[in-house]
Amino acid sequence: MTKPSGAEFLGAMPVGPIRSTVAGSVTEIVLRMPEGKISAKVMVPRGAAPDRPPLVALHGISRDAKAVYDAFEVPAQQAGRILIVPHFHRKDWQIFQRIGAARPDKLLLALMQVLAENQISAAAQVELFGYSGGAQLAHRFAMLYPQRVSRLHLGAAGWYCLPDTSLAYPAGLREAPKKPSAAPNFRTEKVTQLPEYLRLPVRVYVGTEDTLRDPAMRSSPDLDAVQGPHRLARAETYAARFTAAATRHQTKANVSVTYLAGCGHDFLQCAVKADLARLVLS
Amino acid sequence: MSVLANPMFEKAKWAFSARRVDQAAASGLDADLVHARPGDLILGRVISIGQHQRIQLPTGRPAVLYPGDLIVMPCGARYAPDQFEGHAKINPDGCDMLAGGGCLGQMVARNERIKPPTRVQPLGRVTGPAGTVLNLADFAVPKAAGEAKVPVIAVLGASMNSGKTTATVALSYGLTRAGWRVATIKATGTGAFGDYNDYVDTGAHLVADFTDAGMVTTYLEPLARVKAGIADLLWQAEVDGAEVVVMEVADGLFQRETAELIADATFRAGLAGVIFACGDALAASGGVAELARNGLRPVALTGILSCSPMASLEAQAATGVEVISRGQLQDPASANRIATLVGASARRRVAA
Repeated sequence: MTKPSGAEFLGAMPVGPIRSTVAGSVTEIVLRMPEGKISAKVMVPRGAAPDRPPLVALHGISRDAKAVYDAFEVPAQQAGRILIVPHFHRKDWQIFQRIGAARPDKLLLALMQVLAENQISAAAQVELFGYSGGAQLAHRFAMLYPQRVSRLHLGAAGWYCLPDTSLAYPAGLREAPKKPSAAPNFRTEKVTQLPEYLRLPVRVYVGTEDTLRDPAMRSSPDLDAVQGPHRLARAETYAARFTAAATRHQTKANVSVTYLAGCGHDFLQCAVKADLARLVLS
Repeated sequence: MSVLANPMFEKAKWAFSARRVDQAAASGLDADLVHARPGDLILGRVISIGQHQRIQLPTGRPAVLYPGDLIVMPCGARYAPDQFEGHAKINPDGCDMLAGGGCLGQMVARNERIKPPTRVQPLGRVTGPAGTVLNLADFAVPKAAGEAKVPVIAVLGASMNSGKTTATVALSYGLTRAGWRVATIKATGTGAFGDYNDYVDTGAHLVADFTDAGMVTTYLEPLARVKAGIADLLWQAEVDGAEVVVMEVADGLFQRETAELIADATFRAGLAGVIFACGDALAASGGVAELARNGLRPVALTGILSCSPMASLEAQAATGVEVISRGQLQDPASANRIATLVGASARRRVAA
């Protein structure tokens, strides 16, 4: 009988010195996998409980991981929460918001494994936050791996995979004929996980002024008709559809929408004006 | 009983199947070879090299065998349609090396494509300090103190070489990547390090096989003994915190012990799911029907079959069971779905 030590394939390594402060320590690690490379800033506050789920905060398509880290650092320190802010570099990740041909999920799983192997976090779950494109990745990750997420925070996603089997995939989860393939069938995987996904506590955040249809937001007549014309409407649609799907699964939905007063589609504005990081950590 | 100088045991090449044995306990020899039981340790000297030119060592490396080498292997039976069938009997005039992982017995049938077995002159049964014969069972994991509740995914197959080990390894890897504490177990077969090492390489939380439960081979062991061994390993997995077990059952559905196991209601009741490995659509159809006859329906088909999209379509049409490839089993997203299908996700949620 053998109890192997953890896998060593991940090649995670710290880059630069670990910066220790009165409040804790901060370091940056790099993960290289066949799917691509990410870096991640890891902040461990002094006195953080290692079995409490760390907060993983995902940037949007502007890839401004620094802004995300800066917004969450102090609130996370004050809350005694481990903070991890990954950076999906544009060079390796043309697309990181969706899980399909690109596999950002594998990097997030690997990151969680590195945290465990380095005894930074013993928690099997993370609290997962994403803003905009990061929220897209966050909810799709949670749909595939709901047991790895303790709470899901979605900030102003452009569009969602709705937990609705009457809507065509990927905007919904309706089955489509598919030949056997060597690749995972993500629709099938998500449908199987749906009962677990619908049990997750989900917090949706959106600016009251997030109503512009900018080019970064995916839109089409069909998508607009189902999800709404802008991110504010789409956040409300998501929460409503999530609640309806939970009811169909005899589950009481735990989903809420928090409106960020006076905020548009701007992470910094949401962080400064509406104190988004403290809302997430509260 | 004669007492040997311990260096004789130290010079001997011990087999992988005896890896749990405390070699320092070897103190003497019992000359009564005729009454050797399965699992009894035999000290022998290689007479001639046949099919097995190497012995698998407890360290996990193969060692070249030479005529005249001293070896220590358990007495055991063997069931391997592509090699030998053999019984757990030791002829004092000479016995057969039935498996590279360490199994001495008497060959009764040989696949015509392979060489005759490596021959061994048995010198005696190895005894401990108290003079009793040492048996693998003396060094087994503790007996189960209860019934394990951890979800068990059984990997069954149409035959040898249908893809069971590949599927077991791939699923263990995928589940581990998805964040599960996986126990990978081989329930039946003959002790060898090939599959075992492949299991270890997946990063599984715990790896074990029937030799850890005290059997060099499960062939011709009573069903109750085989089931007790499985129960001991599953209990160990649960005690060690495994959240899901991937358990390979050797050979095909019609092999004696496998057939007895799937016909056994308590064994079936302990399974949360079955994956069936096979080579083509016909084997898939027959296998699914045979499983159904025993009250089992696989959650997925896999194996050599899954390499061919056309064969996969045929099998899916014939059985209504999804075909999953090795690549999908290795993928954390697909493996995670299987974990949820067998109840592991709900179990973790309730535990939390």
